Amino acid sequence: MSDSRPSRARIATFVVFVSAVAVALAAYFYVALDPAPATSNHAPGIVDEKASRALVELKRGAYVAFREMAPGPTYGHLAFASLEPGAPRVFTSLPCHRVHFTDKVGICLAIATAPPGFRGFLLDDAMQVTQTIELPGMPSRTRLSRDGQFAAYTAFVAGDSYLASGLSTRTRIVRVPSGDDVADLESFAVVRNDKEIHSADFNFWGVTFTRDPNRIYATLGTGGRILLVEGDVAQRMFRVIAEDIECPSLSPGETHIAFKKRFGSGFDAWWQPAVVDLATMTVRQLPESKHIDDQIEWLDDGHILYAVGHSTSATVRRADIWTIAIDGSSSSSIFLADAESPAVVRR
Amino acid sequence: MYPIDVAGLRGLLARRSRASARPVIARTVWLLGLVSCFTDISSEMISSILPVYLFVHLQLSAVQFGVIDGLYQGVTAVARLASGVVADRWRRYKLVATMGYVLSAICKIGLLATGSAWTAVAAILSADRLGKGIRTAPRDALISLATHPQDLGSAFGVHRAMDTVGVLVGPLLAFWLLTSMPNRFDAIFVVSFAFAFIGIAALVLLVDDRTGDVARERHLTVDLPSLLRNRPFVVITTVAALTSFVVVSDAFLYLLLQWKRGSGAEAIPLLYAGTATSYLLLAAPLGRLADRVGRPAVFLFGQACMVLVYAGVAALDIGLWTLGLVLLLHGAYYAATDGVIAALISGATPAEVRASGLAALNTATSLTRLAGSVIAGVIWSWQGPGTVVTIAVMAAAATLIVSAIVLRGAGRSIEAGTA
Repeated sequence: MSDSRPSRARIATFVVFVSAVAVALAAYFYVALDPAPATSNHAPGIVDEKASRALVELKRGAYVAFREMAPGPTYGHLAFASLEPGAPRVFTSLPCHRVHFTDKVGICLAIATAPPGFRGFLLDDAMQVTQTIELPGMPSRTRLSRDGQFAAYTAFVAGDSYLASGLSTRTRIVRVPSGDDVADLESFAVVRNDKEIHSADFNFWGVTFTRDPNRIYATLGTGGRILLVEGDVAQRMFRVIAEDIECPSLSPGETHIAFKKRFGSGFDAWWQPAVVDLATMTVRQLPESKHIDDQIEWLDDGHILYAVGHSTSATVRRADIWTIAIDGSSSSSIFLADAESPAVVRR
Repeated sequence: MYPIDVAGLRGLLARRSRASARPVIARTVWLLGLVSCFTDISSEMISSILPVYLFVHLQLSAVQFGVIDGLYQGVTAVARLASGVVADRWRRYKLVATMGYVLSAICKIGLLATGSAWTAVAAILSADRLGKGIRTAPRDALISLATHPQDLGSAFGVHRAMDTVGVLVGPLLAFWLLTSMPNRFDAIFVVSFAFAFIGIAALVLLVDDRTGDVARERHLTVDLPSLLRNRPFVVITTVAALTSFVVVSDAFLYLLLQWKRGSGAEAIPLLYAGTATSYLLLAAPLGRLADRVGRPAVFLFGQACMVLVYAGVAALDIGLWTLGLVLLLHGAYYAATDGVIAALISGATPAEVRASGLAALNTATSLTRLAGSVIAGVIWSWQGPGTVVTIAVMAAAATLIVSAIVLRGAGRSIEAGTA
């Protein structure tokens, strides 16, 4: 039960150590980090006057909304540019991980906001945040219906340690701009070959809307298999229409679905862009071997856009948006450097 | 249930007026609480943002994430046991604990250097957890050896409360950094390392290494079989292991709460914060109560709280108030069991095998918790969450009854050291 007081020398040494750590930390932040951008996640206005004017100009034609990925004070922020090569970018002050836009409304899924948590922001035509959605986990995918009435989002929930993978998805459809829940995909019945199937390990992700916002495509993962499902939101029902088609993205003309095709297995799996013709259900592999993670976007009926990450380390992650023709006639090229999560707004 | 020491209860209500000027909480315990607080800020900063780092930033696949998650959650059982035995054999509790703290601290810098190679990240995070496995038992042995046997519950209660401050602060700090500097995970790793470093400095410079009555001879033989012949030790460890098996993990409870609330997406970090706040506030008072009215009684109270937690999930509509109640009871479960079990084990094991005994307890409970999670997961997959809750209520109630009978059967012997 000896419990002697530490000597003065030891206490003094401890104080010196703590001070040294504080100084070293301050030095690290000063030297290694860019000054933190002064932004607020909850400010209703996310564009200054200049950006606001530039946006009005941009909206006269087709444009792309995306997540800015060039290092600097706007890294990670929602940004816009016209479809012209080398077009100037319009930055907002809203940090987003995934974005999607129609000509009227937008959705931004953010990772870390204050207070701590994952949130989705619904944006109106004037770039005001009209509604905040509490996400049940990490932002993963998001899409708006073409008429801007509905938004779908997928969040990944970690900590389901009872599952083999340790991850599960939650995919919901909400009304825009109210943010009210319309449907949780987990509540949908699933029919395969005219027979209803169910399993507790059902995971849904990657919604894509058709012109009729009540009809959607999505991915169903179960028992290690990946299924493409087509569904009716009002009836809460999905029909399995194909296998091994993950994270669908419907073309503007609704003739094709671009998707992520898995290669390899287990630890060494990777994903490449591919396209399926909905009339014949034939899959076309594209001349592109780079690994992709996010849902694919369509530039027009003949070309897709997808983000490819690079230079990932603890200090940074970079990514570029690439484009490729779906007829496989040409190789891919960079569409927008230092950007990810593209959403094309057509006129 | 278990007979409550009425005289002790009266003593608790009266002002403490012992002749001895010996403080209930030794300086070593306060200092180790401080060390744990800093270390937990450091480790919780990492674990709270780990899913985001692995899955969103490094973009690992679900399979790779699953492997790392599995390694991170457990598989340190052997290290725990070995460190306890080594600490006892060398009689160098502080040295062995320091090795564990240092290993974990180095890993924070390691994360900075590994980049995106997922196997390297997996190795670093395993080493980090290994460090935690190494430090826990010798640290608890230091607490128990610096404390009068009558006050073990109070000492562990105070230590766990200070520890929990770190659990609360770490995630807030990490998310604040992530908000201020998107994708600059290096900032989080560096700050985490700084807190780990301060914790180690406090341990090495300020914590007294002398451990009272235990002889400082080197390389004593540690009579491990004596632990297995020690009936109170076996009884307490068995009861604790059974409890961990039934209670499963926090994450699992939070999933049940989310399921019960339906589409209302509750931010899981807030649920953790609710439990931690309740634990923080109740750990010291319940530890003190355990010293006065009997540790088995308070432990059984904790188990009863867990029965109520599951019963609440099963029977109540989970609104804001009922959610608060469930989290309060969940924190009370921790406050009445975690430190109290450490105190019971400390009271039941001779000083020569104290760290080994505490390590064996940790190993047993972490293994049964893992087994419980797996089985609960299987039931969830096959029968759905409703069945899981029903089984959890019944299993927790059965465990409470069995524990009460077994602890009573073991009699006064397990109360050795209690007032």
